[in-house]
Amino acid sequence: MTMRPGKHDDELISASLTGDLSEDEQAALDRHLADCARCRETLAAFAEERRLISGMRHVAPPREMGARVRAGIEHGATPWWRRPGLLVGIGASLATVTAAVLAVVVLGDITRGPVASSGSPLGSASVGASIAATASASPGETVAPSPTGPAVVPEAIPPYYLAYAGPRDSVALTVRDGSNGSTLRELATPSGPPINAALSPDGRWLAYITQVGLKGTNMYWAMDIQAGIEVQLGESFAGSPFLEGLFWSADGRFLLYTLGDWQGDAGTDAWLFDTTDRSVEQLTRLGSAYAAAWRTESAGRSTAWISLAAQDPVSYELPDLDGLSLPLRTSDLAQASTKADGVFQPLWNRPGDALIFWRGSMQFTTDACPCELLGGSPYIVGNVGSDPAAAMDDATPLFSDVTIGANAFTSAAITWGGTDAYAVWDAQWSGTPQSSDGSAYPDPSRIYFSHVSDDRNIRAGHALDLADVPDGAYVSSVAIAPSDVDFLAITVGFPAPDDLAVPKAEVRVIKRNTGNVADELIETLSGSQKGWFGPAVYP
Amino acid sequence: MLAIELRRRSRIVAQTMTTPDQTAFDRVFEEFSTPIYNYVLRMVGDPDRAADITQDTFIKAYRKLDSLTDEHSTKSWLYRIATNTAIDDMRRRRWISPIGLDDERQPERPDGRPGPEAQVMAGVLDERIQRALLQLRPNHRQCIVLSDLEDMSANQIGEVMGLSYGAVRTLLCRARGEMRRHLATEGLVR
Repeated sequence: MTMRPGKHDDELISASLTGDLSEDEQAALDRHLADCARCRETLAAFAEERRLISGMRHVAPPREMGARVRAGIEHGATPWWRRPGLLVGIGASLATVTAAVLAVVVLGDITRGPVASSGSPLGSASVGASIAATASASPGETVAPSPTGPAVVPEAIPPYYLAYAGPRDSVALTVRDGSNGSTLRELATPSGPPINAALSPDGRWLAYITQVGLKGTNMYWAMDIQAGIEVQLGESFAGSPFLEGLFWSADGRFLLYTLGDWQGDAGTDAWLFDTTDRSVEQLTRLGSAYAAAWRTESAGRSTAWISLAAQDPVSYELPDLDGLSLPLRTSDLAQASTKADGVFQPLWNRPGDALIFWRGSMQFTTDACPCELLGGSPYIVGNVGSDPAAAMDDATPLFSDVTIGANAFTSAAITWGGTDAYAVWDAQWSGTPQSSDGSAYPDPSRIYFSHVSDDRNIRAGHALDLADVPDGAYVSSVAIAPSDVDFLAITVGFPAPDDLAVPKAEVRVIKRNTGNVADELIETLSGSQKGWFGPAVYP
Repeated sequence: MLAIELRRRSRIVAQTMTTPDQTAFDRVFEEFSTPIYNYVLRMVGDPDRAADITQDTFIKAYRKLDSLTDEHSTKSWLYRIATNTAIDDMRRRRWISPIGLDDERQPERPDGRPGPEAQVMAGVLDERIQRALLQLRPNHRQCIVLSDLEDMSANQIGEVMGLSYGAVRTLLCRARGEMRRHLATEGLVR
C-alpha cells in the first residue's frame, strides 16, 4: 500500500483515528504524514473533532424509561400521534398549518382524548417505576381521582407514594405507583404509618420513616426499589422535624440522617447509609449532632453537612467521607472544610446554590433531645457563591413579615422542590400572632409556598388555600414536583378516633395558583380500603 | 479492550435471548438503555424525542428478539433498531410539520423551556457541539456519533447502517470534513 506523492487521502486519515487501517495502510500514511504538513493539519483537526465529540457528557435516560418500556410491552406502545410532547407541538402548529385534512385528523385525536390522561400508557408511565419492579394490581385498591379535577398533568403526579392500609388485623406497608395506585413493592410492616420519605437522586432507593405505634419512636428504612432489598437504618426518639430529615447525596450513594438515642441518654447523632454495600455507620459520636442536607458542588458530587445543637448552634461542611475515620468526635471537626457559626441544619437546594437554615438557641425539650429553638427563625440565601459561610451572613429571614424575638419559631418542617421552590409547614410559632387581624400567623396548619426568585421570601399571602387541606385534617408531609411548575403532593392526615384505629391519610396533588385563581386539586391518591396513604415522593 | 469486553457482555446476554425472556431482556435494557438513549439524543437533539425513540426501540427489540440469531450482534442489532426508529421519527415529523416547526436544526421543547435533561446537557461546550452535529446530514451525523461517541469500528458501523466497510470509511471521512466546518463555525476548531 502506497500513497502517491501529492495525494492527500483524508479517508485514510479519518480511518486511522479508529484503528480501521491495515498495517500497510498505516505505514503508508505515516510516511506521507512525515512529509505533508497539510495532512498533519487534517489529522490534528479530525482528532480534535473526535476528542470533542467523545467528550460529550453521557446523559441518563429519564428515570421512568423502564416503566415506559414495560408498559409498552404489556399494553402496546403509545401511538406517536398521542404523545404529549408531540401533541403540544402539533397543536401549536395547527394555527398556521394550511394542510387542513391532516390537521383535522390530528385535532380529532386531541379533542377525543386528554393530552395525558391517567389512562394513557405513556402518560401513566411517565412517572418512574424501574423495569425490574414487579407491578401488580392490588385488588380493591385503586386511585380515587378527584371528581372535578382537571386533566392529569404527568409531571404533577409523584412516581411513588407509600400506603399503610388494609384491615386492622393485617395492615400492610407498600410502595405504590403514583400513576395508577398499583402496588410495586411490599415492605416490612411496622406498627405505625410512614411520615417522611425521600427518593435518591438516581431514583433507585427510597428512604422513609415510620412511626412505631404508641412507643414514641420512629424507624428509619431504605429500600432498593429495583431489587426489592430493604434495609433497616435505625430507630430514634420522635418529636421534632429536625430529626426527620432524609438527605441523599447528589450521586445517590449516601443517605444522611439523624437518630436520637431512645434507650439511653446518648443524645442525637448523624448516621450514614452507604448504598454501595448497604452498610449503616454512625457518622458522629457527639451527642448533639444533626444531619443536614448535602451541598451539590458539581453534577453528581456533593459534600455532607452536619450541625451541632447548642445555645449557639454551629454547622460543619465535612470533607470527603471516604477519607474520614468514623464516627467523628469533637476533635475531628477541625478537619471540616467549612464552619458556620450560629447556623443550624442548613438545607441546600438541589443545585447547591441556595439554602435555608435556622438561627436561634437550641433548647432541650426532654433530657435527651435538644429539639426546639428559642427565638428561632429560618433564614434563606439565594445566590451562594464559593464561600458558604460568608453567604450565610447575608441571609434574610424566611418569613419576611414577622418580628423575630425571644418568642418566635420553635420548629418547622421545610422542603425544597427542584431548584427554586420551597415549602414550610408545621410552623410552630411561640410568639404572639403576627397577622393584622389576630388570626394565627404563622399558622402550623397551613403550608407556605414560595420561590428563591421571589424577593419577598414568605409572607402571609404565600399560604396555600385553606381548601387545599380538608377540614379537620392536618399536614403530615409535603413534596414539591421537581419542575418549576408549582405542583405539590401533600399528605394530609385525619385524626384517628382512638389509638387502635388504622390511621388515615391521603395524598392530595395540588396545583398552586396565585392571585385570584384558586389552587387546583389535581388528584387524590388514596385507596378504597381504610388506611394511611402518603407520603409521596418526586424524583 | 473495551470492545472485547462489550462483545463478551453482549455474547452473555445474547445466549439467553433466543426467546422473549424477561430476565434476559431486563439485562439488555440495563446494559444498553443509557447508550441507546445518548446515541438517539445526539441524533435528534431533543431529550423528549430521544426518550420516545428509546422507548420504541426497546419495545421493538423485545418483540423482535426471535430475529436475533447471531449471538455476537446484540449491540449492532439494537443500534440498528434505534437508527431506524429515529429515522422514521424524523421522516414523520417532517411530514406533519410542513412549516418547519420540528426543524431538526433548531430542536426545542414545545414550551420553549429547557427540560431537566436539557438542563443537564446544557453545558456550553456540549451545546455547541450538539449544534454542530445537528447541522450534519442525518447519515453523516449517525456515522460520526457511532464512531466518536459510541467508539464503534467501521465494521460495526457498517452492521448498524447496512453499509460496506469501504462505504463507511468514505462516509465517515466526508462526515468529519463537514463536522470540521461546523465546529469551526462554532469557534471550536480552526
